[in-house]
Amino acid sequence: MSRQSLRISAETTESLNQVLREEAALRRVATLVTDMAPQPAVFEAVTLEASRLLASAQVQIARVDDPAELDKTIAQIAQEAGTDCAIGVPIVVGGRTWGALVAVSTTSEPLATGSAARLANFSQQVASAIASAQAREELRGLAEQQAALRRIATLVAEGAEPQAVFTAVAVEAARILGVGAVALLSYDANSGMFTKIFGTHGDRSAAPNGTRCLVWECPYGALVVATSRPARVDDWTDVPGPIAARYRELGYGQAVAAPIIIDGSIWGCIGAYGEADEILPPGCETRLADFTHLMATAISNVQARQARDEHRSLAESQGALRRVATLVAEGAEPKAVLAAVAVEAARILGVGAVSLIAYDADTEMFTKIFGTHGERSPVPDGATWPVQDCPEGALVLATGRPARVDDWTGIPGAPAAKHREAGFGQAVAAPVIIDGSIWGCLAAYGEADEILPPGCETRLADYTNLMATAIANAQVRDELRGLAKQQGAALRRVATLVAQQASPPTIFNAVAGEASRALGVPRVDVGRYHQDGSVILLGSTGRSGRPDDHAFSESEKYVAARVMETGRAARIDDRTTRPAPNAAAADEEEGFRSVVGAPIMVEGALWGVIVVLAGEILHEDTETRLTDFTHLVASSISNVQARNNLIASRSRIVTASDETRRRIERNLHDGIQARVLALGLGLRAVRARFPLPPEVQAGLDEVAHDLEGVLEEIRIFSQGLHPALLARSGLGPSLRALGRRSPIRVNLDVAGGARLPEPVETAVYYVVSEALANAAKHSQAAEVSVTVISDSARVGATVADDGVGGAALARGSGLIGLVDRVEALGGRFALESPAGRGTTISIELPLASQPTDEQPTL
Amino acid sequence: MTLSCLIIDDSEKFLASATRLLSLQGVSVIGRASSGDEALRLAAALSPDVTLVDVELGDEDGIEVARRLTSGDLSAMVILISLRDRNELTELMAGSGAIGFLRKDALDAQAVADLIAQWKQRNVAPEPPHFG
Repeated sequence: MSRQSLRISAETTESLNQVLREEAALRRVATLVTDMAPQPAVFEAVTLEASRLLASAQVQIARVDDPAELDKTIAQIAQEAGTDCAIGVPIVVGGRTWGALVAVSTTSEPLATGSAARLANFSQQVASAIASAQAREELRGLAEQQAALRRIATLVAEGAEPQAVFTAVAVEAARILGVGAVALLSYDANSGMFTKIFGTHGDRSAAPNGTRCLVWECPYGALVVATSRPARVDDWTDVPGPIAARYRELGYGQAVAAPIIIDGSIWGCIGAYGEADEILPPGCETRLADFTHLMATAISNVQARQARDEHRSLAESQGALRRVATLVAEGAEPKAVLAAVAVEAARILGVGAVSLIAYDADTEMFTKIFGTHGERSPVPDGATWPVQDCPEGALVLATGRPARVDDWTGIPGAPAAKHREAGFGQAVAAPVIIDGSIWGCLAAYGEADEILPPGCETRLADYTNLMATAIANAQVRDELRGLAKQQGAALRRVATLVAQQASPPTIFNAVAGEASRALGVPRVDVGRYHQDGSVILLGSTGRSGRPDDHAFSESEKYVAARVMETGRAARIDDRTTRPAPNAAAADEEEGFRSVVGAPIMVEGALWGVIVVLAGEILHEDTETRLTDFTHLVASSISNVQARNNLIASRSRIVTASDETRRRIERNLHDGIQARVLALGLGLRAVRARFPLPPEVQAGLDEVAHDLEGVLEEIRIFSQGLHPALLARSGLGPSLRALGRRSPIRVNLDVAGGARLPEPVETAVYYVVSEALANAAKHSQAAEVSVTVISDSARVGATVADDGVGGAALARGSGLIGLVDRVEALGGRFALESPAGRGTTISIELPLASQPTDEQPTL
Repeated sequence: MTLSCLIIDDSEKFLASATRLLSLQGVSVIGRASSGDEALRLAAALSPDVTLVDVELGDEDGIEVARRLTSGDLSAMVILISLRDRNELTELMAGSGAIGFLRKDALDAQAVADLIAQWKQRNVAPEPPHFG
């Protein structure tokens, strides 16, 4: 045998060793990759192993963004290394050139052949490592996103407030992107504005939560809106607007943003900011876009739920309002309306305990109007308690806004203790504002372990705003009803007097009295305007014994003049504005500081004035209340006026006819009677002058006799026409004269010698005269009694005979004329004449101020 | 003895007729007036035996004139006259101081004298006894 053993050449051995070493190196790297070592470790291992494997070479991994730049990059590396020999092998990840593995010779020698191939193996490992890392990265990113989505979905499902959900979305985005500043913006296409919903960077934000800005002020937002795609803004230097300026000041740099698309339209966007020197990695906006895509559904759900809630809440509120408003319209008792307000609130808020509380600013006390929780309430319905014992009410009063008291443990006072004992917990309250001031509040209470959701006080506030009008109306109706009852009674009293045909002074005094009672003012005067603008007093609650008892004081006249000028209520309070010093003095004596007058309008025209006087300054609503009162009594006054007009016109007719009769009687007396008298006297003179033959004498006597007869006839006629001496001598003598003339015996009883007003005496005289004449003609009576009685208010006359009766007020009989005369004076006439039982005529006439009927002044 | 008489009336016609009649019947009508003031003046100046006064002296109250004539220094004798009946005037005349009443159509000198005589009978005091 020869020494021809298989000799593996050194080269071959070397090659084999080389391969082994390469395998080992690759294996080491691969292990790292499989073990999912961190990328830097892998990269370091690759460069080390590769450098060792390729003798005299230094290997590095170069990342290339743009594959087209690959050659340039390799050349750049070679240049930097100071050599012009470099080999670069692309690292291809997922079909794209990620970068290159570059080897440069450390000597002046070129690299060994096969280096490229070896590098290629390594580059594959690198590619795998990167791919694997990327995949892991993706997975982690995905997992993170899933977790984020789960957290947010949970919030939505638990019914968290939208703001809470939006906050969570922004926070999760920040976590996922690894940036510290994420902002969630909503977009309003109609106004072209963004609203900043939430920013994770708090005070370091260019615009606070809730700010609105125009689209162009937010460049990434503008891009997103324009393209509906993710966007990136790297350079903020030239962006106009205060928000961009603030952004730069705060030290932010690059920004990426992605749209939030709901139902096909842009709801808003999420923007993420890097610090001034921070590079946001490429693909950042894509990751953000993926995130927002996921979040879009959650946001959409929140929106929908919010809309549904609002809708339902609105429908509920409207239903409640409708029910309460119906009660008000039906005129339900205010208590019922207020109770309904509390009950509906309880229904809407879903709590079992709601209280309606009224506030009295003067006493600083609350009054419990109604509590839905009945006896469980610390304060019973109708009770009062001071503000400081009601923390929820006190807060509302202090701030004028909805309030919340969650912790009742430390609150002093019995009501708070009862609140705890009764098992109540959190409380929310909202003010009830009527006419710009706090009327009271509505408070809702949860059970001890119940959480009243956030926004509960806002919903309560919305509800109370809605109900404030109904509460105000219920109050007004109540006041009106009370007022109406009060006024109804007053009106009834006055109207009754009018119907009973009480005398005008009685009626007007009653009007003054009712006004005094209704307004709570001690002194009231009622007056009538004359055409010359003066005012006469018709009624009053009383005088203090002043000498001039039938006139208004100077102050009252001044007020009355103002009322006449303006046709509206007027007042004077301050002494210095009174017209004359003595006027003030007069009123000062009586202690009046305030004089208010209101017009009395009758049938649309200014008729008179009602004036109230008080010792203290009268409240500013006195004018209104007084005017309301006069409206009430205006119709009664109108009736009195009408009745007076009627009476006065009848009275005028009677007076006119009496006047005519007087004239006729006068003419008779001065005319015919005088001439007939003269004839008689002349005849007597003839007889005295001449002695006459008997037959001439007899003839003249006959003529004289006839003349006397004529005079007598005229005399009797005159007496029936007009009681000429009545005015001079009064009823007593005149009636006695009638009695003497009467063929039937007359029993006369005329009380007193006091004179009565002329029309009254005339009426009584005629009644007696006619009654006696009738009795003489028809009654066949033996005796007639005539009685006249008078007092300060009225006079009554009776003529009674014991004859055959049967007299009647037939047309044409003299008695009808008597009825007219008596009624024209506002008096009453009565005739009783049963057959066989005699005839009695009786009348009654009022004495105090006969009616006047002057027309209204304006 | 001729009675002197003053007539107070607001009717000229009556004054004429009455004057004519009374004069023819022997009464001397020494004055006529139509107003109370005039009546007083004449009465004071002329001191008539009797004054006839119309109850309704136009706007004036004849009763009042009569009262003034009969009171005070004048102490005139007054007879009230009227067209009206006495019974209408009865109560008016009391307090007037008049000695009587005559209806105007019964005006007659004799009637006047009768009234004066009747009054004197009622009212003249018995003569005080004369001594020495």
